[in-house]
Amino acid sequence: MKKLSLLLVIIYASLNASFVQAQKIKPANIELAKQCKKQLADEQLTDDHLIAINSTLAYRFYTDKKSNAIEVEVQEAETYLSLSSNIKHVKRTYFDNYQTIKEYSIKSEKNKAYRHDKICGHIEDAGIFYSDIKVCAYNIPFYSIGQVVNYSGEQHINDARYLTKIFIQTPLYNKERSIEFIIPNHLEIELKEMHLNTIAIEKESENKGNYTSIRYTISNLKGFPNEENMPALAHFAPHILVLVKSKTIDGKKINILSNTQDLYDWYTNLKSGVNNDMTTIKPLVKEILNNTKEISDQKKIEKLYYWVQDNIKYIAFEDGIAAFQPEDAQTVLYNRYGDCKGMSNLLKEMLLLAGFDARLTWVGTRRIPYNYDTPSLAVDNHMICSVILPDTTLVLDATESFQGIETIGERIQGRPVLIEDGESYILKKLLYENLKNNLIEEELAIEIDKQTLIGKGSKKLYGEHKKKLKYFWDAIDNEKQSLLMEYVVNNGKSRDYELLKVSEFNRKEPAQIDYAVKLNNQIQQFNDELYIDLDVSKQLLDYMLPKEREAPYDFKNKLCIEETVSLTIPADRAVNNLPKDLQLNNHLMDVSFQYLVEDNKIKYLKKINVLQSILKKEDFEEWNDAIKAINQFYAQQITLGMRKK
Amino acid sequence: MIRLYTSLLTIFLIASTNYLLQADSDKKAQELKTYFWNNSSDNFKVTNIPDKWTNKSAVIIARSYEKYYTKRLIGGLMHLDYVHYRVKILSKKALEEFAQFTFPKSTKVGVYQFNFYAGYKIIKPNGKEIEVPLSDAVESEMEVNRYQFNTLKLAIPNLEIGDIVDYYIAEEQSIPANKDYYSFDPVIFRLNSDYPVMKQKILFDVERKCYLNAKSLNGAPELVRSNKETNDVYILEDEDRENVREIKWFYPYRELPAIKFKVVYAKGAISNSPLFLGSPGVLKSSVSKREAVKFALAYLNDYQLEGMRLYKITKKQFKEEIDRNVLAKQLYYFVRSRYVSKYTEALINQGIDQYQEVSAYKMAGILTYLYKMHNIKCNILLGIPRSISSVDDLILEDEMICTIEVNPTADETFYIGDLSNYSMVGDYYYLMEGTEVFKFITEFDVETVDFPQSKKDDNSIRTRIELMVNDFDTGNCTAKIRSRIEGHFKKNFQYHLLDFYDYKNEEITKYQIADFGSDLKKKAKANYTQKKIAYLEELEQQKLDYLKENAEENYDFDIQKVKDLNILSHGRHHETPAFEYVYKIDFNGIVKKTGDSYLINLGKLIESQVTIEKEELERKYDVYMPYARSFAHNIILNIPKGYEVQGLENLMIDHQNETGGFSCTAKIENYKLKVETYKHYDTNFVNKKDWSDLVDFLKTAEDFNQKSILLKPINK
Repeated sequence: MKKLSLLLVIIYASLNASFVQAQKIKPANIELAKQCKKQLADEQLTDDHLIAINSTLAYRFYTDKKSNAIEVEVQEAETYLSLSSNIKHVKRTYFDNYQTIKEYSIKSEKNKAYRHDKICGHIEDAGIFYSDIKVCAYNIPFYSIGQVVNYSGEQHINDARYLTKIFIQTPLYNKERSIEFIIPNHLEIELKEMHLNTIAIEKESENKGNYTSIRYTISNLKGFPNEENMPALAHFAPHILVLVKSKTIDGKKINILSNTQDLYDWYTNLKSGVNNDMTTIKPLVKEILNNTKEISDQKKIEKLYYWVQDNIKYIAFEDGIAAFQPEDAQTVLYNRYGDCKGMSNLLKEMLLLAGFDARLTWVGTRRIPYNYDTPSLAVDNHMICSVILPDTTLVLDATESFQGIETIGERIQGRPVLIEDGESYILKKLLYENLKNNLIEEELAIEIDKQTLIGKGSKKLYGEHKKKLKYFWDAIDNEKQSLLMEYVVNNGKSRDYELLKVSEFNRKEPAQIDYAVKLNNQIQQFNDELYIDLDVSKQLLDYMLPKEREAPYDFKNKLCIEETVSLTIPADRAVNNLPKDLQLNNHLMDVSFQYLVEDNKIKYLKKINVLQSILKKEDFEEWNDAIKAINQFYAQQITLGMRKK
Repeated sequence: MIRLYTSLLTIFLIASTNYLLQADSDKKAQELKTYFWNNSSDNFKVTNIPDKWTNKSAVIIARSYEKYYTKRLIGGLMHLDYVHYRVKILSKKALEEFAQFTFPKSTKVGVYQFNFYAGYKIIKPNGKEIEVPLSDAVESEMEVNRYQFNTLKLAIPNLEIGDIVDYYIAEEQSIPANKDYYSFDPVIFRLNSDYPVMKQKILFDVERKCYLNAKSLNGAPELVRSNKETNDVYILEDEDRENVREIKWFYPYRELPAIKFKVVYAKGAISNSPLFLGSPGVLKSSVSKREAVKFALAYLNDYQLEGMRLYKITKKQFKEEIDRNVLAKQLYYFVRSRYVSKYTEALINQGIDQYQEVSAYKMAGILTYLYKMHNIKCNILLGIPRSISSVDDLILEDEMICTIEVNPTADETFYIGDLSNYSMVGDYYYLMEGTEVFKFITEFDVETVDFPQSKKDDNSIRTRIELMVNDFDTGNCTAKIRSRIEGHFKKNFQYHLLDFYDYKNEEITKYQIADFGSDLKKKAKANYTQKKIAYLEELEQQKLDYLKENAEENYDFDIQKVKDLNILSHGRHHETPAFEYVYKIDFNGIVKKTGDSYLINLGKLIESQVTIEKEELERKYDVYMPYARSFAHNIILNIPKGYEVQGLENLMIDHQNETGGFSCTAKIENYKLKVETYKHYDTNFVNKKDWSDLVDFLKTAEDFNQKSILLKPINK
């Protein structure tokens, strides 16, 4: 055993030793690395330990003679310079059923093959069961400051429609970067520039006979920000949307995706491959609506909508064309699972059987900043079901696990939708829900018992908050569900709280949690005076956004909170000091903190409305000013002295 | 023509071999399906669960693990590893969990072939069985440096709460005939699971050149040799196990029923080695002291040659040293310099992590040889980390840890169990404390003794904080923090804050280590010098980044900046054992204004304290902590002119009990407020009946986080 182990150790050590490639580093490279490091430090980029001193990306479009499809050759080259010792860089190249990696190489500065680890495979995403998106990750070690390594790669895209957008930035700081598009004259391809005005990029366009070269170049380009609570990159990062509009072959122009109708036609074409069979669905609809002749249309729709939400699990397959084509309704029903398209298709068929005008509807969630003016596959990522009624159109998202029929989820509010309408389509924009639909409401009545605050409270969660709570409730073990409810009210101090009553989940009513509380640390005595802090939750405290932050801040939801705390003043006490009220009202937030003395009670009324779900960079200063004021408000205390006799 | 014929023949052979392999594989799959679903025990036919578990998320009706080690037709070993589960789904959580089924695809890694077979079926409450076709599975690819590790993923259709799922995964691994030795990974398997278990079975069928070591722990049923089989078949059968949640300060292998085991395939000379092999096919469930010691000595003796080489040097270098105690310690530091410090700079130059740890056997082999030759008395201590087992339950070579006890003089004893960048005389693996160990120097004189336990102040963090409030209105503060760290705590801080270049000069002078750059040729030296300068330039920032990250994790206030770090003591020598450093932080969040007065929340300066949640108040199991330890804070605040301090009486705390305590005193001296806190855990183990004592003082410390003093204008 020991001999064997030792042998293994020797083999392992020699493997590792050969892995460490002793490289002589040119003094000039070390000097350059130091200069770059200083430059980055001046730009507050002290976490960047590797840069690309040069990177190029080139897309050459052409029409394949055999398939007649518009295809793309992609050439990529990057030269890395390490600014520190002992670091690793993972270069990732993504591909899928429409894109292949033809070749790649990683070489030292002297053009010799450079050792690296390679891991390739499907991307595992918690929310997606299977996707055809794969990645090749090349793990490149850099041992010394000033080390230079070259990467180059070639990929092939077999249908240019799937090349939807190209980001200008990469994960690394780029000293010099260029992106070139080579477009033959017979192709009509629009390059739609998004957020390019936020960087100093130059564009050159040159017709070179039978093709046009469009070249973007930029120096000193920061890498993608890697910050918490970022919205999707497309919301703010400079990028180019590639719109493959048409091709002209033998003088004949053929539309590809030139307008919304083309996009819709393509979707319709995919939809025509769906073979819904009502044999198993019909009896189910009958069973769900059994004895419901008396009830209204809305009630019938509710019953069918909620049945799909409650009985069909969301499991996403994004495999080639299946990423765009709905699964047959009867298959989804049998499987008891489906993705958004399959679930919408089943719901639509159930509603049609019940006599409603139900239609498939495409929508881009709030992750997507484009609307249907942009004919691209990047414009939407979700499917829902619309029901056209005489006086209104209901929008039903079968993938939402606990959504009431009267409201729509935050992620599709305000978004444009494309509703099927035979050979044509209907475009609509969904409304934003009233902020109060997502209210968190709390009432607490407390008294002073020696140096403890004791009382009873009640918390109600509406809309998105209730939906999230239900999601977590379903995701944890039965035995832990009461702990979850306690956690919702206890601000992390479980021993101070006791649950009194928890309401059953109901789509119409808020989730309500009643509790008793005993707070030991909210009250302190100095001589005869009591210093009391009535606010145990202090939402938005220290919620400052650093001015050097690159990305907008995504709250995911707008916020609406209303809290009332009522403190009974002991008979032998009088109010010495009450915190000064605070009211702020601007386009970012509407907040009000107020203390009132009514009879023998101090009432603390708190209302917080955060009006934007994504905070833009230009709003950070105003936001931070508001947070400073809120911090100062929270730093105040109530003081109660002895009542004069 | 001949070439063409040969090619055709090759193609035919490959095609026919593939066809035969496929046919074999299909036949095997069918056999296994029959085995698991038709010929399984009655435990796998049960559909009802006990009433006491109806409120659980899921119940494991039955599970079995079967491990077969058999002869291959073409020589070598065939290992079959079968896992079979039958589970009742009772919640949405379990429904989500079991609605997706993933298993590996057959693959070859080097010379080892791995084949996988699986099956999944649903049993509806009305008894209807639905087999899920594996052909519906999608393949998820994963290639690592040309080796394929693909998995097959199956979304389970038609699964609902109330259903039972019954699935199996069978792995077939072949060890080629030319291998003399193969050790399967050691396993400690807990009989409790995330869900309650009605019936379970673990089976080993071990034949031909295979050695089974296994031991049941903490009341788990024993492996029993089956009378039904002609082979050497051992079975553990168990039932009625509640599910167990993760809890704080818990070593599950010391409390929960479990079985630890390892199987080794060995032939030829290796089967006569001092490994714990026993007899082929026969369960070995105990290892004697002597076996353990023989194994260790064989390992240690391997380093005698290195010891001899060093002895020649040390004999000369330390010839003047007559004090055995001093010599014993000097020899340790000499070995540290030879095996660690000497190579550190080369690692830095290559861009590799500078931390090195010499294996315990190598360290002990070399040092015990040197001590013997220098006539210094020492013993080897051999034990098992207390998180795994007691030494009575020793069964695997891999679980043993080696330490040296050195007795240079009659009244001096110290221990050595660590040889690394920051280690010093007296450092050893903390999980050995309080355990029973085998003590020996030869295999003929072995006794069982207790490894000593460190005291609470041996492992301490002492922090002095000078607090300055820069602006009372904004609450901006600066704290000058001086930390003195001793004992088992130290290494982690040294790893992040102490660099080789901090102590290089001291090491070079004391142990005559040649400078790494001195042997390099001119060009290489210039390169090394330039890299070193660049390395040192970024070193300080890296240390400050670590301190900021650490501060943000431990203090419940807004850290703005960490600056002015200065290392005061390296903590690499037993005469100056503390690692000590000073730095400053700028922060907000402990000053509150109330009228004309200010509340200063000094309690937050002792870092966020351990919180015991309500569900943790009841304790079913004993409490296992790493070691006895203490934390002291000394907070000093200059009282601003025109203000007085109120609330000192709130800071006078003294909560002590058998398990530990928390205390605080506060006083005013020369216009300075001085607050001193001391928190201590007195042992590394607390009996569950004393849990409430531990909780009590922890609650006091946690409450202290909220304590404030009031700065009030005088005469108001």
